[in-house]
Amino acid sequence: MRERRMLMSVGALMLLLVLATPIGLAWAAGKQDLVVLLSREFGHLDPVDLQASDQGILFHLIFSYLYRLNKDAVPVPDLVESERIEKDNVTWTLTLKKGRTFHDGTPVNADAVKHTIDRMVDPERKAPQRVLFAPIKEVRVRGEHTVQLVTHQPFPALRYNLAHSNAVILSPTADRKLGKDFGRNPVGSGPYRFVEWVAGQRIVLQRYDGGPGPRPYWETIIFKPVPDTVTRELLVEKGEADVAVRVNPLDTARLSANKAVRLLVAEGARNAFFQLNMTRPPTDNLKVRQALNYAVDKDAIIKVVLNGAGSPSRTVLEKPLLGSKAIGPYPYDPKKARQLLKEAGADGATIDIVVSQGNHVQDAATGEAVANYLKAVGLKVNLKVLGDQPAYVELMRRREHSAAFIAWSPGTFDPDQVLRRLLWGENAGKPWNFGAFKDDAVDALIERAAGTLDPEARKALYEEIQEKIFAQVPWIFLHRLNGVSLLRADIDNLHVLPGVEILLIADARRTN
Amino acid sequence: MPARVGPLGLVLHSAAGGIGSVLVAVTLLAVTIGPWLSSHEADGFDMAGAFQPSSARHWLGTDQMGRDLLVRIMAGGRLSLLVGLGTVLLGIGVGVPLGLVSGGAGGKLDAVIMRGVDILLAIPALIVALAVIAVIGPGALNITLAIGLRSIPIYARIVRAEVIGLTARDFIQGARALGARPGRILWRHLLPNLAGSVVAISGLRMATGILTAASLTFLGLGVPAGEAEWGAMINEAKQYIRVHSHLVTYPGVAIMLSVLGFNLVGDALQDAINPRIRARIRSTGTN
Repeated sequence: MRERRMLMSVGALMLLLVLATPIGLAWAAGKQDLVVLLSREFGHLDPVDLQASDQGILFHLIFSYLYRLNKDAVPVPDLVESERIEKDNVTWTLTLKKGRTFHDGTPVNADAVKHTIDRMVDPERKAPQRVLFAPIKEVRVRGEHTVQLVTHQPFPALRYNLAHSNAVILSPTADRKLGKDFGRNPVGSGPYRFVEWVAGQRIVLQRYDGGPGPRPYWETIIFKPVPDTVTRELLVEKGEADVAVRVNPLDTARLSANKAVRLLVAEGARNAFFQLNMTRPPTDNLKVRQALNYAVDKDAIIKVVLNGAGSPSRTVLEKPLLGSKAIGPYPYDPKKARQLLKEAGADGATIDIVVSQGNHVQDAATGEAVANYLKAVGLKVNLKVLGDQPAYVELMRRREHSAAFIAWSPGTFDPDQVLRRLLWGENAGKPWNFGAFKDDAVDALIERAAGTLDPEARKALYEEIQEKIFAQVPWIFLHRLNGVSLLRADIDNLHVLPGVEILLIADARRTN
Repeated sequence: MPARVGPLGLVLHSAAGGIGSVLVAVTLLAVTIGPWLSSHEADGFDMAGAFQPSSARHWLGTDQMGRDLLVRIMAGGRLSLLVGLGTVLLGIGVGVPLGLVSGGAGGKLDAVIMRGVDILLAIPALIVALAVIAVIGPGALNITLAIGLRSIPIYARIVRAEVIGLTARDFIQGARALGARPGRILWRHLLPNLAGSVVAISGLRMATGILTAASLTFLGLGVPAGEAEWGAMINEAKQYIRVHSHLVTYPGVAIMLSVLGFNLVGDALQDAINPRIRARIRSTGTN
């Protein structure tokens, strides 16, 4: 009897806690405050690494860039007043805008630019994002507001690299003072300054009044991690939050019927595929790789698993990347798949599949569907689903898999970065070329395209590269995922970068 | 003088025990022969037929991969029941001997065994299971071990208490006085008198085993992705809850009914063995 009573009181307490959670979330919601629900908590906000693309949303608010992506994903000058490419085609002379300061009062000048780039490429730091600045050979300070960037070879995509969400310019004073703690107390010169970070609860940003131009509308922007998709949707529907990232595509019909909210769609934000292991049987065989592509019904996955929120993937460089050329998709043809497997002597072979859970919209469900399609053509399938991102990367690093799920967002909007990370021979076996794709002809073309200044010639090279890669079938091509965010209907002028799902919040406002 | 009724008769006689027995019987039949009776297969995959509501062809509808939900629930119960059964066997196989030794020997050995039991009991069952799975890896046998481990102290505790109580009773003292060897006392006197309690806990442990197995697989541990298992099915379907709630509801109901069944039977057995309640049932004919 006593036990029962105790159980009941524990139950009542838990119920209270559950009910109290939304009340806590509703904290501080003035008219000019914006509450944004993210899908996960970050470890840090240091630009040396991009753990989750949502970090980019905060980088765009806290920091300024030399070039910034506008809402059409075109790099436009941000801190740069004027640029001049010298006759040698490798020296970029940039003049910075005057009178800008970081949130700690440090002036934004040529030294800050040099410090930021040197910090990122410092070999000691092993920054995963150093690839962004890898084309830069040298940074020369030519005056208080003049800086020269010298590239190894002519590099027309430099503006795109400099406009990547992680290519922020940071305060050298704060970096020296904070050292390792910079990532938990970031200091930039963007429209919003970092105020506080309560682990697992919220990150608070406040309008920076020392900035140039008209003051942004929001006084405070509060970010909260809410991992459960349905909970994020409910909180925005109830008006307890204003924005939620990554809506479940199965809920979009219901949500569009609700007048109080609206959906913001980033078309084809990510190219989703299974990266195939090129050096381990049976996927080291071209016919097997082709068979896997014929075996999977991409359209059915888009229709059922994604509830229509995607389109078939047709190449390794999907739109909006320069030179994107639709080559695929492979039609669904299980008969042909069986025949190819037979020819390769691989009917009934075992395929080890790794898929993440919760990193991307419907990732685990997509993995299970693919596994079922492969079983249907007579393959044995080991499906591993991992919810933990570091563990997932570690598993791919060991390369004991046949196929690993990746949903890639282009990041810089230039093909060079996508190819170098996913399909470059020098990166074979390393993140994120875990499939160890390596082709000397493709590598040579990647180098050539990177240094080609004429846009048309460059485009033609990328088209050739795509055909060469597609012919070797490094992936099971699946779909382009749409990124869908949910907003309160009264929020205006909030945009999302089409390829990377980064929300641009600074210019938004509440209309009523 | 009412007719003599055995413990099993008493169980069936009580309302709760009767309902419980029916639920257990239905569960057992469904998971053993159920999947054979259907023309569908538990992993018969058909993307075009996903998310169908109940129909004459698919009684409980289809899931997110177009698989028949009823067949998956019936097939999914196998692992749950096996884990439950394994839990009970492990408890009986290891916990009962430990309890006998502890209660019979007394002294230091008793103290050592009982402190071990206390330690195991102090850690929540799910945490023990999570830790064990983390070390030995997933798989049906490993889940059984992980969950069964937590049954051992419970059996040991109860058996020890019974042994201590029984050895003080006259008939055991008498047997001793007559020169019966310990083996004979154990076999002829202790074990038959213990059997009732052990059977009664087993019903309850079975229910707990099923529930813990479902909790583990709900957390994504224990069974390979895509395998038909109650907790895993709910885990995979939970994101569809607002649009296709039947995917979560039906496996949930299966867990609830089977656990309820074993709990009711366990409770009724306990009542039937408790002499005072037994006497009341015999005199009034009701519970």
